[in-house]
Amino acid sequence: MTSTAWALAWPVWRRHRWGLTAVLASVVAAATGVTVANAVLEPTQAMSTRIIASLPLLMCACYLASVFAYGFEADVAAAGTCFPARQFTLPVRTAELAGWPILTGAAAAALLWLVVAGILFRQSDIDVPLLWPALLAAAQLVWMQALLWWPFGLPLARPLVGMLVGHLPATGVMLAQNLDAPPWVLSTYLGGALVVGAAAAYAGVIRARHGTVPSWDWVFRVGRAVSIRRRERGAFASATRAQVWFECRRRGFMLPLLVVIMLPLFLLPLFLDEHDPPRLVRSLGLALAAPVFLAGMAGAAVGKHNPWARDHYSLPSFIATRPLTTTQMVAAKLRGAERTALIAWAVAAVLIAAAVFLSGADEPLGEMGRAWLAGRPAAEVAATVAAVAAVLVLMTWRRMAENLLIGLTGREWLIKGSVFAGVFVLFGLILFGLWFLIHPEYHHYVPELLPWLLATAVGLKFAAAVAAVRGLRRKRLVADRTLATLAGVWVAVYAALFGLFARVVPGEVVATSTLAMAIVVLMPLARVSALPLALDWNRHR
Amino acid sequence: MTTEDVIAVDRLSRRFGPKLALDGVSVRVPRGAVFGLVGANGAGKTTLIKHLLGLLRAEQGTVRVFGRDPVADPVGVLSRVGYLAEDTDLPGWMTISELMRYTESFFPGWDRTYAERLRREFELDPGAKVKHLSRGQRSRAGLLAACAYRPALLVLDEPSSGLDPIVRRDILGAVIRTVADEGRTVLFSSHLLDEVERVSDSVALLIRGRLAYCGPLDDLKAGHHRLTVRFESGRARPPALAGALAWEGGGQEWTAVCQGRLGELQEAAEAVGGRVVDRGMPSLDEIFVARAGGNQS
Repeated sequence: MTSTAWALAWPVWRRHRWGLTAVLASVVAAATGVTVANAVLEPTQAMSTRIIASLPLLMCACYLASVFAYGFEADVAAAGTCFPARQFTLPVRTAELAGWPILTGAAAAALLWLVVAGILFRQSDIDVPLLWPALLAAAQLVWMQALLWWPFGLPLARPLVGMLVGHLPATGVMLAQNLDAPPWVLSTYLGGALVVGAAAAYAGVIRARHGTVPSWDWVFRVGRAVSIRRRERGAFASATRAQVWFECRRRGFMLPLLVVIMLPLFLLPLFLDEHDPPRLVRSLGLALAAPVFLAGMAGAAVGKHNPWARDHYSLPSFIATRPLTTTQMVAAKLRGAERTALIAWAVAAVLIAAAVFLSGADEPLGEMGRAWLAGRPAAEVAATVAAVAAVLVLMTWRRMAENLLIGLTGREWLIKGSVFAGVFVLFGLILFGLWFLIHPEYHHYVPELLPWLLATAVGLKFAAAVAAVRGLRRKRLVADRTLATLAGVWVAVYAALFGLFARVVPGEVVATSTLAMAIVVLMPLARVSALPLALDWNRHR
Repeated sequence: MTTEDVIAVDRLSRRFGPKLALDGVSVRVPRGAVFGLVGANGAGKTTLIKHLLGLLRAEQGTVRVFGRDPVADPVGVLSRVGYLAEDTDLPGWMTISELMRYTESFFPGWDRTYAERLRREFELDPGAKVKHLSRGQRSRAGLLAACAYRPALLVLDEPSSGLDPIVRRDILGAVIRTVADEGRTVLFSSHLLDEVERVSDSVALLIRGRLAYCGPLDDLKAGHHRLTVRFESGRARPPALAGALAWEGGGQEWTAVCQGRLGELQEAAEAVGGRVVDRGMPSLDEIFVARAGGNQS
């Protein structure tokens, strides 16, 4: 090591050498793919290849941002800084400690864009801007550094602030483009964002190194006042109720909080777009889907056992030694998810109703509603509303419950591996979706293949459920009688949903057999059945 | 296992990757005992305790607590066990009053008056969150949660390591109070061997995953002697004395911690040209250090 910069860079390289090599390999692969596409494909197909080839490089940008912001070792919910504390004791000035990752990170992000633009687009004589996208990549990275390194002093403040302001460089660009701002305006804005982000990141490291953390005493005073009131409450009626309370208190606020923060973004088009029926339906559809989507994130957070410790994968011994069966612990988590889903939907209903009235969308929506109601029997209307409400709540609960599974295993390799696998599958699906969209000649296969795909999914789901139930019986985690009761409840819910949908969805639109299989796919089964096995594996290692 | 054994561990082995953490350990803890578990860092004390609580599954051998398998029947075992972990991993977001209310729900035998008395003794603010407590206060909160239902078995895993003498006194007080209740048992692992010596009536010595001794503390001490041996001329190295576990000293006078009968040890010393000029009973600390081999010349 001959300099501070190398001494700081070496551990980063040592830890991420394979990932950084993969980034380099992705760039080389993209360049090769585009060169081959230019040589052998039609111009339109070569263009689609360039777009598809650029997507993995977007993933590389996210990876680089995490590397240079020390994101892989960050506990984003922590009150303090996510900057590695071990570096604070190095005999190095703070300017160097923070400055090198800021400089190298911003340069790497900008360089990645220049490489993408050069090898994917300019090589094919497509004139893409160089400066402002490079500044955007750099600015977004330093804003991430600022968010991660700033000591907020309050748990969960970081993700909240991140959701509110972390996207400002990108949203500013979108706004400027909507207003047809010239490139120099974009560059100036992003240059300013870069400076502000770098200054905030540096200031965050200074504050963290000196232990200057904002005081939130008033929050704790309110908390103490509330807890003094709670002190007067008696004991819980049973151990399982205590455990449900524990689950709700521990992370039950996560989904309602996410809904409060994120749903307004989904409702924003109601205020910005014109109120024509297709846009209204799209905006409301997205808003209604938001809690279901957010439930997956909340479920993954609830699956973490020990968020107050760095190593939060295994079950804390205090919880593991509660005199409850593993199945009772899982049941408490599922009951907690149920309450959380209902609270989140109550919050979502209030927000959506408020947005509809405040945006003036109530009138066109009322007209659409009246048109839809006209000539329909009351029973069908009631069934439709009930089916939609039941499916939304059930799907929210299902996403939360199923996303517990991996976290409950408490195995770091499995949890991290599943994240990487999930990202790869997601990118694979996006790539496939894009390819499918630009190849309309294959679209007619969808109606033919859909029943087969559903049948395969149903078969896999039942096979996994049978395996899970066999495991539960072998380990004697659930009594046969309880399993029979749960199977009965599942069949009853399935029958009710099928009855509702069969009434609402015309047979000529979706065949009855397809509908029957689609509802099986929608219903929670295999992963929920495996939850006690996952927790048992974690609790008794 | 006799009906009086609260804990019965037979030939328990556990491997973590290449490391053999426990190697054929067999331990029995009778009802009403204060049982000290002694060993160096990494000797397998916490691993053994985790097996007793069902947090680790026995790979080889058997574990029974109150005659039950703690993995197969966690409720049957854990409802009678109070446990204080070394790292006291209580939920940081809970206030003390919430911790008491939550813990109470699991144990029908929770004694509210006793819990409140402990809380006052330990000076724990009911509105304070666990995460805002000092390490010593967290240990006291954990002790409160572990003791207030008067468990039949109290398990303390390194409860006083890194704590100040006042908190250590509280912990020892809890041990003494627990045994004062007839028929209750305490399993107590510690580095602080003087504490173990003060309160334990039986001990198990774990050395690199193997059980070096398991039995009454008095028998262990009675079977060991500290002998000071004087030689006619100075020696560079201690003599090869049968029964000697560790030597210290130099020149003409050497002191050994020995295992065996006193008369036989004296004869052995004379056989190598020495004369026993002083003898005494070694402390548990000296016995442990000698047996663990850390001080062998």
